[in-house]
Amino acid sequence: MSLVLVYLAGLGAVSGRWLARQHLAAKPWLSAGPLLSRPAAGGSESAARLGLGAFLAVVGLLFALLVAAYGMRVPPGSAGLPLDPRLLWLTTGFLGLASLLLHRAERAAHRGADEDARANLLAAAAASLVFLGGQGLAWRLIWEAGAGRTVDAAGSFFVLITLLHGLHLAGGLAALARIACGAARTGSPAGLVRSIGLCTLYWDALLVIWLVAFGILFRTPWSGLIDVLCRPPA
Amino acid sequence: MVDTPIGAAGPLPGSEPDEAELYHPHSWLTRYVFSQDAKVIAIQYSGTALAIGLVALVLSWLIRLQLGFPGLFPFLGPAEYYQIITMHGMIMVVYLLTAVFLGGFGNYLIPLMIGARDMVFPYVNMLSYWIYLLAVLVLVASFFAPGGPTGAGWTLYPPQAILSGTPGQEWGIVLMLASLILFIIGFTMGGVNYVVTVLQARAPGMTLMRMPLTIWGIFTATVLALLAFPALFVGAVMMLLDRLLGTSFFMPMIIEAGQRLHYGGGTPILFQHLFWFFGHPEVYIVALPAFGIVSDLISTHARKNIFGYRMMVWAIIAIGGLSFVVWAHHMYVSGMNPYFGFFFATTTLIIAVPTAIKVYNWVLTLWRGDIHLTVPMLFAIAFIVTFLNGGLTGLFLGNVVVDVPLSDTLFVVAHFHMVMGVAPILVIFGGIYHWYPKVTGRMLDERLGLLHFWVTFLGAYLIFFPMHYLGLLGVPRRYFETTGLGFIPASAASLNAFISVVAFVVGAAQVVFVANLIRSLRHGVPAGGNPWHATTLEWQTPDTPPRHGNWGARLPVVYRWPYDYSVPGAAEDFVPQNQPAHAAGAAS
Repeated sequence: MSLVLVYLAGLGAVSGRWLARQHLAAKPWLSAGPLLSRPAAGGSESAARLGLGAFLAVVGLLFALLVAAYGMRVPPGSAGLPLDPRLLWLTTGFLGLASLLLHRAERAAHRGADEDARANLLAAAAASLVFLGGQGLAWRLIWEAGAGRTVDAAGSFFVLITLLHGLHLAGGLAALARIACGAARTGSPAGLVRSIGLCTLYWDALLVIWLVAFGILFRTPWSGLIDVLCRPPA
Repeated sequence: MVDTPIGAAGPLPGSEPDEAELYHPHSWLTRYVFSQDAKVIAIQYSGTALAIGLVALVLSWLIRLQLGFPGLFPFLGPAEYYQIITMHGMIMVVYLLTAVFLGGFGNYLIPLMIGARDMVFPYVNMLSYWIYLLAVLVLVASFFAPGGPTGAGWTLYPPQAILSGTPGQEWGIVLMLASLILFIIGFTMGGVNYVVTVLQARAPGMTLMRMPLTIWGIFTATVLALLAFPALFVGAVMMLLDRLLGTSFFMPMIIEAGQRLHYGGGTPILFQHLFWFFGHPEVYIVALPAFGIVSDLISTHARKNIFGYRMMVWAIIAIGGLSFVVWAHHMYVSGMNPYFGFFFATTTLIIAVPTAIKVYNWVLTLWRGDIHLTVPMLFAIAFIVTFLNGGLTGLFLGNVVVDVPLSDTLFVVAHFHMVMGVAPILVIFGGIYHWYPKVTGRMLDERLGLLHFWVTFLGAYLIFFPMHYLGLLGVPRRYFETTGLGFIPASAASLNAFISVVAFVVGAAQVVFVANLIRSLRHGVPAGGNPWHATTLEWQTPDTPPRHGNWGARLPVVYRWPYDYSVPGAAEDFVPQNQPAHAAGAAS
């Protein structure tokens, strides 16, 4: 559970830094009247961003728990998965591309370049669908090879993690479709910059989560670091 | 939010309603059923939770029938007994207590107490309730499924939870896990809402350190729940896959009835870690809102400012943080590295420090206060005593050497029920008696309330004090039948019968409460806007019950903290939070 505790410590540090600026040492019984609290600039925009941030913190913890469970359950000498990792490198590339395209869509929407923003949104959605298709194919290959129910459980974790990650991305795609429809209806995505920005944040987070999951399920350059955090001490 | 001096603030921001963001219902259906108004959602949450809680109450009667009078009731066999204790525990902890405190009190009180018009995401808030209702219905469906509900015990430990010897192995466990997954999805929607609303939608002047402790408790408990429930979610999904797809996340190699099952390599201990990583914070998910509500009740009904407000806030935050590093004290008997046992025993003792600070502060708030022994106040005082009792036995059990012999006895059941069952339920009752006048505009009948309080309070002690003694005698928990066991004296059976009789009486007393709730809707004394002369914002609404949007044309402005009671020189013995200094006379 070290990874989970590190994750929680990170959240605690962010929260603690924020709390430190909230005058928690104030003596409110002495301060009738003089202090007014006002919302930070942005109003509902910052509420939406904060809401998404809180949700992503929960999602991040969910996957941290899964990775920690992997470390406790799958033996270090696991035979690995009967799957060519190049397929997953390819799907990872598409997820990264989707994230990149959303950043471009956000910038285009900021500039007011409607057509450009819309094209980037659609391309990001297409890249995400390709990612999901690739993950589905890998899922099927693993399951058909019988690796989903092996004693070392690496395949079971692959099935579970990709399933949950894919469901989260599918939810994001539904939101993206709603934004695209909104853009089509209003004729300009510029008014929806906020929504595109939220999608961008969501996709970035799902990309990071996938990279961590990928790092523990297959040998990658960053697998060693994740192993240190999620394997119990010998 | 940033705090600025009033002179630099200019015109007060946000004091006009933002029509674009306030949802308005257009039909009876969207006003009362698929409502996006947090107050209606709160009542829906509370009604559903109390209804399923009554089911759990009836289940507890059945448990007591068996324990008090074993063998007398042929419809209670071992399988039924285990199914009943499982459903009783899970319903009470998750579907009643969590839902009432966060879904019920949270939805009703957060917008009103911080001076907001509603939750910031009303549609998501509505979805949260309907998913919760679906979770409850799925759980209830397991009573009618082939094989009945699961009998795995409320901790659902694998491997036995999904093996064929356990009642409800076919459908019951699947429905239980599905229900928990739904509950967590629904709660996450609501929880994100509560957090963002507290952080973003406070009225002008409502700094964090001017929030009532009820809001601090609910807010911190929500953060805890958002971070604890994912562990249960992961455990439930993994066990569901073990059960349905034949994976072996938790299932070791098992030979059942002479046949080797296809499972192998799984670690049941992994589930225990996941379960208790949720399970211990769950204690505080229930306790922190209770702490907050009790603080407000005793301050209001003792007409005295809360003692050590800052320390109370810090203690809530400290308890929230520490609650994530004590989970393994539930697993001493599962076997662990002795150093881990030492670590978790130490953290368990440390968490008693901020908790004790709260108890001292409550007592010092009462000290020389103008105590009004109203029904809510009685429940609040009863909570302090009960939580103290339950907490002290928790210190025993937090130590490895004491826990090991007591772990599987009724001592644990008694401790747990005092601290996690009786104590928070006393607060729920106190909170309902306190805020019912705001919700309905009428007072609850006081005589019926007193009857309800004394029977419940004294009865709970008559049930659970002797149960500690039974535990010390070595009477095991979870056993269907203990007669004939040589190490248990015959007197234990008499005591068990006595406890059962009292439990029936206490259970029946809850009918008085429900009758009072219903009767007072029409026949209660009109309450007016602020019957308790309280300072917090929910009592200052222009209408009682508050209308949609809560505040009429203008949002309130907050000028002071929520505990200005008996202020020297003030015109009355309380100064509402939204009253400017010049209007309060010489106040503060």
